[in-house]
Amino acid sequence: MARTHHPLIGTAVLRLLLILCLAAGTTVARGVEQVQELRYGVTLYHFYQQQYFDALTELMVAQQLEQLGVHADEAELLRGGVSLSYGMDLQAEQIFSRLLSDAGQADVRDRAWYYLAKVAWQRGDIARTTQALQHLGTMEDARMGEEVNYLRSALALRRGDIAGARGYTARLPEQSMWLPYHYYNLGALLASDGNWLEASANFRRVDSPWIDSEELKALRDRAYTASGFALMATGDYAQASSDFTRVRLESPLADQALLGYGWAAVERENYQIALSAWHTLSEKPAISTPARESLLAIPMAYEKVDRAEAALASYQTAVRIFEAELDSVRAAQEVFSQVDMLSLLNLQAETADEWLFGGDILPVNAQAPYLQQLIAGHEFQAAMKELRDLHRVDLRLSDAARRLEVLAYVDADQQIAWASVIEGDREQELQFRLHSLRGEFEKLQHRLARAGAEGDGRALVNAAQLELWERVERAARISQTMDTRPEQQQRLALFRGLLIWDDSENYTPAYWQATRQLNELEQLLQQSSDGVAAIDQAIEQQIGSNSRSRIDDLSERVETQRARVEVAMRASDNELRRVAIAELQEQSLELSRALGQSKLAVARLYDRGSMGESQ
Amino acid sequence: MRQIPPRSLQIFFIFLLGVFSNLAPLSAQEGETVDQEIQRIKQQVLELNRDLFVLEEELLYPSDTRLSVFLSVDVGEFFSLDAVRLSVDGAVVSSSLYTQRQLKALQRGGVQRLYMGNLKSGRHEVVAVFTGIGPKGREYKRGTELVFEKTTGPKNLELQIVDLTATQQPEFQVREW
Repeated sequence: MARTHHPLIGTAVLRLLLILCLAAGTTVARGVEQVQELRYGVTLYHFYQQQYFDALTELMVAQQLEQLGVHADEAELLRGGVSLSYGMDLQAEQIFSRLLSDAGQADVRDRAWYYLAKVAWQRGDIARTTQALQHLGTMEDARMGEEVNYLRSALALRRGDIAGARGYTARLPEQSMWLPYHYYNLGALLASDGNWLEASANFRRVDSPWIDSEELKALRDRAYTASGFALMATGDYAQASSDFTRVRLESPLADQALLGYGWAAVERENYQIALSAWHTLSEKPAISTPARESLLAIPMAYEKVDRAEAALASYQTAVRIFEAELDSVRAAQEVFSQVDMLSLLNLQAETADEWLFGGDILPVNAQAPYLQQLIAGHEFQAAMKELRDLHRVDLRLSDAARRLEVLAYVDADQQIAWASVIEGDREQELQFRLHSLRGEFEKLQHRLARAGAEGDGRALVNAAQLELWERVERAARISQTMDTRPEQQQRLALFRGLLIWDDSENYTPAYWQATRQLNELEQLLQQSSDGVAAIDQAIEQQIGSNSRSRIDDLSERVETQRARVEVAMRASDNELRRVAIAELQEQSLELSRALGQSKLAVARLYDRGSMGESQ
Repeated sequence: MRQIPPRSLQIFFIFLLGVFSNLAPLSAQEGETVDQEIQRIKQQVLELNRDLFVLEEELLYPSDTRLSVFLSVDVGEFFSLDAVRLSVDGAVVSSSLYTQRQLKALQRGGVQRLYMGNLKSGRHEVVAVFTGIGPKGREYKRGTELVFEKTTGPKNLELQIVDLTATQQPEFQVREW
């Protein structure tokens, strides 16, 4: 039997599905929203441009003013989706929990929780990732279903539950892109327990003939590098060498692999091979940790083959490079302790407020290469996004403060204008004039009605006709006081008859014309009446207006939020700074150690040389 | 078994395990992490902005005089919009140039609020001039107009660019809401 549910919710669910697909940038056919309320359309306009703050504001205004009509149900789901993209996953979670409990919406519910799990995972929030995954059923979308199983297996590995993790990955198809990630994670777990052989076996399972994406190739490079080091721990240097050579030369892991390859050769006493690898490495910029490491490894290998002079020269080169590098790292530390993180990490750039699909923030500055690994981490990325968002919220609050100033000015101006209307009796004057006009109108209306009832054409004559009538009447008055001839009396009667004839002939058009004009006049009067009524209503609203207190309240809220944002920004800035400086300090410490080691070696070799000479 | 040189082993672990644990969760309030605090701030600022918008509309564009003009595109296959110029009673009140991103947002069903202003009651005229690329890649410029009656209550107009499949031409129209 077909399952039924509320049609509006059904539509809403389909739309959210579409939105989540669209947001995901998937290749699902992109439908066009049929918008039936303008504000809902404006929300979508901002959302599709990744202007999430504007989209949410528009939506919330529309919700408050109840202007969403048929979209009201789906609007709340949309708010959940937009909140998720804006990094407000807690808000999104609340909305989804409230609205997506119906079993009939399983697919949308699963997608919503899937994205929530992803965001929580990116934030490094294991508890919430686990919780979000618990809401999921069997995903209808195979691609998402695979990722969910991968996330579950990764969580199991974090708990050290290898059997549980394998249970989830057993559900993945043979060529799932997530299997290599699982093998890598498993290898890392086993390696951290010192189970090198099994770790290596899992790292090597990452490689599959079907791997073709750059992402998986990069993972394969990483896995072979890891496998090489794990095999070195087991003493299998030949296999370790072989694994190191499988790392692509253009890979960011090539330096690590080259370093390991050198060590594997040294372990097999193939010093020339090791030197060749390390010399290649030492020519790379000393910002690379393996390149720095090779600077110490090279003279060590020279000493092994009794080339003390070459070793001395190499140590001296290393001292020079380490000193220069140490200066650079200390300068970077100085920069990180003085400059604000927003500028340093380039977080003021014009990018979308995207959390879900925006990719990583990759700052470009002279110090960034020292923090490459740190910056690539999920949590550092999340912390940068948080600081970026706080900065933008701060700008929004500054803008709100400016807008409130304008509103306060407009409100004060309007108060003055209204005071003159209310207190200066201008409204009463308007009412009086309207009343007089209405009186005049009614007189005219009455006159026309009487003319109509009596068929009185003379009542409707125009100015020229009226003048003629006055002349005839004047002549009649004169004729009564003077001796007039009969033919003059006849002429007067003739004129009077002609005028009566004209009045009778003109009566119909004149009556029609007068009626039309009276109707127009009535309309004008009605408009004036409406205008005065609107003023009355406005006065009433103005008297009851609380705009001043609303402006004050909003201004207070702006100031409160600005203070909170400032505190949060400082905390966020400090934390990013602390982690970055700690990383640089660690590098500085390593460099100092390597520098000390090089200097000691130089002294030792000089000593040995001078002892040789004295003997 | 021989030992891996300690320094290399250290490098190995660093790159294996990553540095995710370096960021300590800061505590903003009792039991609340910084990311939770930030999300709460975002929500409160959104609510504040919502209330400010409502107040702005009431004060700057009172409902009895408010005129809002919107723009939408239905499909948009026969016309790629570059710019719109909007005039009310002969005066240009808004001009917009469109980026690809804006155009895509319109084509996917988004509606742009082009103008919001005040008008007194009575008869008024809006004229919108659209420029862009029309069928067969030709430059295209068309106008549309509407005379309407502004009465009490807010007035919403929607400029629509619609594809006419029968004629393979775009059509420009104004809808009164």
